Amino acid sequence: MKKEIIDVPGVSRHLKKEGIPLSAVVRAGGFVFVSGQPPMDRRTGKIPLVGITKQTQMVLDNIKVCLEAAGSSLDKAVKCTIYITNAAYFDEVNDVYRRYFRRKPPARVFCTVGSWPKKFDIEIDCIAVA
Amino acid sequence: MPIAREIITPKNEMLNVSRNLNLPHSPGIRAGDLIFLSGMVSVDAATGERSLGTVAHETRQILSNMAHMLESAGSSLERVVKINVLLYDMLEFENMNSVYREFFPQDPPARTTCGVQLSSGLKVEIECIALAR
Repeated sequence: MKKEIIDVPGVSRHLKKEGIPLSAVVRAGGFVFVSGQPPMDRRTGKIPLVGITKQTQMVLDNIKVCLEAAGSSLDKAVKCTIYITNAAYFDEVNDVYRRYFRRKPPARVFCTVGSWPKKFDIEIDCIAVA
Repeated sequence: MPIAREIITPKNEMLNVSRNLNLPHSPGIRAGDLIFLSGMVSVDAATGERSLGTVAHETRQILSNMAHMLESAGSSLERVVKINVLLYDMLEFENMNSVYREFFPQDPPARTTCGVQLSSGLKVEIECIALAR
């Protein structure tokens, strides 16, 4: 069984530049594993100061790009974990989230965590069928 | 044909924390081609006692034990595909990364790191999914 590192345009190179020891996406065993995605602008690699709705949208756009780079898609997602700094964002996050998973949404965990060492409030990771 | 589900245990019984502490989880489960390890905390491989220390110390202890756990099941750190790191304080992110890099020098797994409250004064917990072979 092979483990493949997937290069994601606009994501992998920013991670490399920051020297963070992870791969954005790994494909193995018939599944695609996407690292927790922050609300990063794929063009600049920067994380802009924006509200939770826009942050959620940026995160899910990045997840979509990551999955598609591995030949998968949002429709094939089986499990997402949402990490959030404030549980009160539940409704705002869901309003955006359901636009990306309109039918048969994946299994999901929503958990409140401490803040990251940068100014943002949400990360989402994902496992999908390859 | 349903996929078989098999319990993974470490060869070094000191590292079988769930059994030694009578916790209601398995050290790991193999299901098909994948191995799912439970969250691991810093444990001294010689005594089986929790080994509290700096984030660097705990990270090193956990990843050494994780290598043993995976190797006991015929897998290895190189075959890890996804990691979750739970840190007591995200300000220690780089202290964790600096040790983590030594264990995954190339083609590291996908990973998510988040800051959480851990029990017993522990600073790091790490779980993983790996290819079984």
